[in-house]
Amino acid sequence: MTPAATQTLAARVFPRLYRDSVTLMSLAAALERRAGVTRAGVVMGTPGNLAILERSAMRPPDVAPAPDDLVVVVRGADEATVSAALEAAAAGLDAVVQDSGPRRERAPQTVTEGLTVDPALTLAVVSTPGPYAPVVVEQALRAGLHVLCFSDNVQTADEVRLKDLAAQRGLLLMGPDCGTAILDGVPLGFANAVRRGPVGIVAASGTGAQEVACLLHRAGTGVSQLVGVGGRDLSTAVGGTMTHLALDLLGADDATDVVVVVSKPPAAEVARRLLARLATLGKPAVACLLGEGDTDGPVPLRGTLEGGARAAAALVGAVLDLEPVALPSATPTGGVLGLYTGGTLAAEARVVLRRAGVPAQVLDLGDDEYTVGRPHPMIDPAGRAAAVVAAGDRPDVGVLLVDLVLGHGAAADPTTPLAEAAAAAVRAARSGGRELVVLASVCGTDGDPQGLASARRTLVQAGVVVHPSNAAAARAAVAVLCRSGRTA
Amino acid sequence: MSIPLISDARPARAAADAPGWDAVLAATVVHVGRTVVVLRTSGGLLVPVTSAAHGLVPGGVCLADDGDLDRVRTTPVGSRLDRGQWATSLRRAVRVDLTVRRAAVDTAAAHALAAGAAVPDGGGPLDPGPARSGGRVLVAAAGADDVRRVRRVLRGLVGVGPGSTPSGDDVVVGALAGLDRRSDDAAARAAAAIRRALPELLDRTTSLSQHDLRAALEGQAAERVHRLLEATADVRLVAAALREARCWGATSGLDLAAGVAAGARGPGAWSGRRTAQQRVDLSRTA
Repeated sequence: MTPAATQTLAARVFPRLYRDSVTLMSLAAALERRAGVTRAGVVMGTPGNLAILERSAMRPPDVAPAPDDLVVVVRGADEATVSAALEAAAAGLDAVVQDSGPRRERAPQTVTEGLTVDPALTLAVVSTPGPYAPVVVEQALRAGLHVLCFSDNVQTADEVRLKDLAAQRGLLLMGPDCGTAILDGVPLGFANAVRRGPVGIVAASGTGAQEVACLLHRAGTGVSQLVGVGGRDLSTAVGGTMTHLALDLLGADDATDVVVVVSKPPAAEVARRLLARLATLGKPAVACLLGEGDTDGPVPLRGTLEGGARAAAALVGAVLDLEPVALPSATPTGGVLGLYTGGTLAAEARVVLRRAGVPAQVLDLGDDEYTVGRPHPMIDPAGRAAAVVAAGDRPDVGVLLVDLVLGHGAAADPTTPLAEAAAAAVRAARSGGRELVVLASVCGTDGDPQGLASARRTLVQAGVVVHPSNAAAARAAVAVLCRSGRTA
Repeated sequence: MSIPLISDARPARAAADAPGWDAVLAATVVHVGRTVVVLRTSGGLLVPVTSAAHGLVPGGVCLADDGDLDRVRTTPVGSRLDRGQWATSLRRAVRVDLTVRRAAVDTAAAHALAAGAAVPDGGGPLDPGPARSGGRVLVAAAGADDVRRVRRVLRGLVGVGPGSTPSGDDVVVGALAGLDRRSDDAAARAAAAIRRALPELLDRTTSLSQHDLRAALEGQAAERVHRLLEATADVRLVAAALREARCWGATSGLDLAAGVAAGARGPGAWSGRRTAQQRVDLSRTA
């Protein structure tokens, strides 16, 4: 008997229902992440699609939709699981089944509609495809709203123009390509449940800001505001317009005692102006510029996220005390492969490995080249998990370095796919007569919806060595290779 | 003081083949999406209403301002647009011919477009990868004037794939536009072969896709497809075209790009050689 034969398969047809393709694919991915669901499909009921469902044993015999009907099909462990998933799909589509009248759309979907609903709104989150984003951002700014622009693929010229417009009006334009912010305790995009506290963060990087915020939380302090500015803000072309406006705001914010700026290394002239601005901010400040050397001038400069968080914690009288983790006993013969979902976490790992003279391949799987037509791996962990499994078959890989990002916006359960993949990779390496060490860190807090403690426990049970910070995991990779005699 | 529904600052644009204004004003809203509102006339024609950010599509109307579309989007499905507020703007609309014209194709540019539109097979049954590969299989079959094979490949593409306009349909639309762009007789014969086989398969897909495919049969293409066609003339335009295409729905932009590239490379690019990869793709799409 095949596994499929022991499971329940059911479908629901939504007559004449259209939804944008992004919505349909996201819904299918969300259904497949539900516990007990083996497979899900959300397709238009065309003969071609039905034939494909039939060939893949995903078409219930009693389903006969028309091409204009939307079909949601779910295979799962039992009837209750499948039924619940189909109900969730119906809610997600926000549709009226057997629709014959007006359809209720999820409102508001535009700046105009939003302001109609509540004229007192102060912030807009823009997440349209890149080419459309400037139009929407400008509408929001001209309506007097701060903007968090999640969209990427926005032209630099548009970013410069819109940030100038925002600055003239004293409004924050966070982004483009800004995925993280915490304003007045409200998380936006990918953000962790950190306690409120005296440290203000201005960040030109998403997961970099998350890691610093989580480490501050770990140190027992907290975050007053986390303002994302987008990865290009400290480029020569943009010139740090929003970074400087955010510093003005945090400088005047009574709840902020210390300021940290987090970024990949900016252009030299922009960095010089930034450091000069921080030195005259009127509050203690830390510049956390990845890859720079650590120095203690008027403004402490740190080249890793962990170093930046430690320096900021010290300025508010807290101590970032990271518990040491024992090295695994294995002595792998292969090199280091990093498979990351967080771009800045990948960059920090490269910094640590480069400083130690360890050659390594560290991939940011959230980069555009890996995400064409797919959700970001922090949202859909399947792609990274597949890469982890594949690494088990590579004789040149002895140490696998991974991140796990929890928090709002991240996948509901990013841990299980990674843990299962890591265990499979280790097994594959062993069957090939090799040793593979998997080192990880979890970017998260005890308040995150996925649960920090359970995520760590799941990884450890799968044989992963979990470190208290990303930099610590990278240092452990260096140590393992040193012991194996494979460093330069 | 009343606020006009449609701003008068810039005129709307309408496809040359869009229905007459009286028919549009009497049409009912059948779909309200984020970037398009679709009307259906009493004669059953669809009229996609878009804004400048999305661009004009065959048979459609493109409003000059995104805010105008935002306001149109508040019209409930099943209702008609406010005639009093629409009439002036529509009657001022400028008609635009969206016919695909013959022009030079640069082989390197078309090849780069094809490479950029190719995606690794994600393994799922509705992965768009096989449909994108099917574009070149279709063009090869059409170039050989193999009627049965053209029909078989089209059956594997029309209405197949994710989205409200399934990936396979976007590939076919792109392939016809790419072939129409070329000025050689072989491309014209291949396009004719597809046009002979396609009409009988239209009822295998959604109404929205049927609209796009009918336009392709008439040699019309959306402005966004025209931008992909322009990229086939100059390799320097390809990266920007692909960047833009990635933002069109979850898969539509790259599906169209794959089709355009397959067509623009012409049937000669595929005749006489079928790689192992193509054979695999054919088995998955047919």
